[in-house]
Amino acid sequence: MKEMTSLERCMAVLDGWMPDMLPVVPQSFMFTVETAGYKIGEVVRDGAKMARAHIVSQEKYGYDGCVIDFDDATIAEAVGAKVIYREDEPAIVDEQQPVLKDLRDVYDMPIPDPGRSGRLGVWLEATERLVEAVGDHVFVMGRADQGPFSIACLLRGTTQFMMDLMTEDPGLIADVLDYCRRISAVFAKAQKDAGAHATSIGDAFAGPNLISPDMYRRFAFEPERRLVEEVQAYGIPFSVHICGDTTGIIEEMGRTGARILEVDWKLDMAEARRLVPESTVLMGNVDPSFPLVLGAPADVDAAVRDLVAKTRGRRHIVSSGCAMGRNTPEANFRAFIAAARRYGSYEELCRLNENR
Amino acid sequence: MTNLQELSDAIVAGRLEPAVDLTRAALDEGIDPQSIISDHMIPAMQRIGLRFQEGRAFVPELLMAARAMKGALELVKPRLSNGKSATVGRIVIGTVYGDLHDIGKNLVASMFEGCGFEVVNLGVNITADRFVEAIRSERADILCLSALLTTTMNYMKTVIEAVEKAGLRDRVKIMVGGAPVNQLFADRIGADGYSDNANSAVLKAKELIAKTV
Ligand code: B12
Repeated sequence: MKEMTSLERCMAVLDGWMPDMLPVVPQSFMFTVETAGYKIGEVVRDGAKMARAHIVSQEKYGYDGCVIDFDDATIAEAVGAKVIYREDEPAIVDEQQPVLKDLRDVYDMPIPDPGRSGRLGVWLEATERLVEAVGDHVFVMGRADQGPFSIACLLRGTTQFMMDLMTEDPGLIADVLDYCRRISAVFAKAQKDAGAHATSIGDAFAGPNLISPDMYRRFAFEPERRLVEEVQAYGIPFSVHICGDTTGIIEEMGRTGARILEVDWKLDMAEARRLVPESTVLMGNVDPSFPLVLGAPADVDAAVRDLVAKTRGRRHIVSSGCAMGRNTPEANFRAFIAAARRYGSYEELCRLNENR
Repeated sequence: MTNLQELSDAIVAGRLEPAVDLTRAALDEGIDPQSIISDHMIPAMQRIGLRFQEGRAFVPELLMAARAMKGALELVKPRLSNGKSATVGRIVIGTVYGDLHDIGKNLVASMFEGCGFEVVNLGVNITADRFVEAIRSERADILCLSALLTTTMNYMKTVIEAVEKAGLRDRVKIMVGGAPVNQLFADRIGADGYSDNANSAVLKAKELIAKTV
């Protein structure tokens, strides 16, 4: 097998070809920023530093793709949410001062301008610069920050929105989520215009850590599905990330039509592989806490070995289940990539698929 | 005669108004306030807590139940003989410095309250000094630390060391929790207890308190 570039490797998996080895695309923005010698606080308003962080880290470790994520507050901020910035940890929305004091306020909410509102332009500049610098050979996945359900939580305050779901008119809730879907789509499409190879959202609040699979189906699914449809029709593969044990909703996540699903470590990957369409790429799912931070390199190696055995490398991008901590030991991160190379080699992939 | 099973059911179902109405009716009939709490409200929170642990109830349901419970509790509290319920134990809880996640921590706090503990909820981003100060001023039996990030979970160790330094370690049990924490980590930093959910947190706390007396 002729050696592929990182970009070719990722695109092969997306298009259903056999890659020369499994691609590794870690969710590593916090670690990445530290690797480049920055603090997250100085990076989040500076598109050049954002791109620089990814360039330095990708070059140092040689993984195959960068996910341009910096916090969960950007899209909410762009429509008026107050944000708390800190030096060491990512910025967050100040949920004590919700934008939607009343759900009906949603009818007066603005549609953001990707060039001007909040820091959307900064994130997009990062995408542009990164694509310009390495996009000819490295896979660049833009993050359009949060998905519809999560945006609603951030604009309304999570605790309040959780109770709204039980007490408010479902029609009103649907309107709120539809607004959130629309603003998410604006940012996601702008990632394509900025040159990203794929784009993505995190919709963590819609996960089973917080709401039931039934509520996911009732409230979160349709806005996600429509978002995916609209963005992919615009001509860019889309990825949905939901943290936690998504066993109860993975089938529906597959039905959103997203070409990539980023799944967390509690999900059994063999089971997931069976429950989503064959053409859906699964990205994940090593536990960022144990082994990545708390374990030893040998634990990381074992986790990756078991993971690849479960998916047999089919439409699989090796990643962490969730964002990796900035305190992930370098040796563990190196072991992670080395293990993906070893257990995801062309020979191993052939072997894993022959026996069946 | 008020059917107190209905009160319990209203709390489990997260229905504030019926919970408050039933509680008022029961008090008017002269039912012992302490018994309303111990025999009906606490078992209700235990029921919803168990459902949550088993994945049959989720955050919205637990929040609604806690709200109904608190509404009812407000009516009962002033009627207790010394104005105070016979508390199971005193808890100081907070999310550690650098960390702003509070949904899980607040659920744990609600479950503790619902199960008869006195709870002082310090909030998020709490420094070791503030935890130490609160153990003293609140005479806490148990200190509960929450962290959701692999970086901030290390700060739990800092807090435990500060408690030791302040000479309070024998006086207080320390429990830790939050998504990235596990038993291994809890043991490593010298915590007395760990649990991965709000319901078993209460069981663990009761076990720790039983050991002290
Ligand atoms: C909601 C959420 C947020 C919200 C928080 C809102 C709020 N008001 O709390 C927002 C958007 C603000 C947020 C921000 C961030 N988050 Co966040 N967040 C989550 C999410 C999706 C759910 C957490 C949650 O509320 N779960 C529901 C509750 C009920 O569960 P719980 O907290 O685990 O609590 C239960 C148990 O753990 C236990 N428990 C909890 N505390 C205690 C304490 C004791 C004593 C005991 C006994 C038990 C116990 O009982 C609880 C109830 O059963 C998780 C994903 C996940 N898998 O957990 C990520 C997650 C924790 N976040 C993460 C990250 C990285 C962040 C950010 C750093 C960056 C970002 N992505 O922007 C910022 C940092 C903010 C900061 N410095 O604190 C990562 C952490 C990864 C890591 N390696 O450290 C996670 C795992 C997901 C991810 N995106 O990768 N987040």
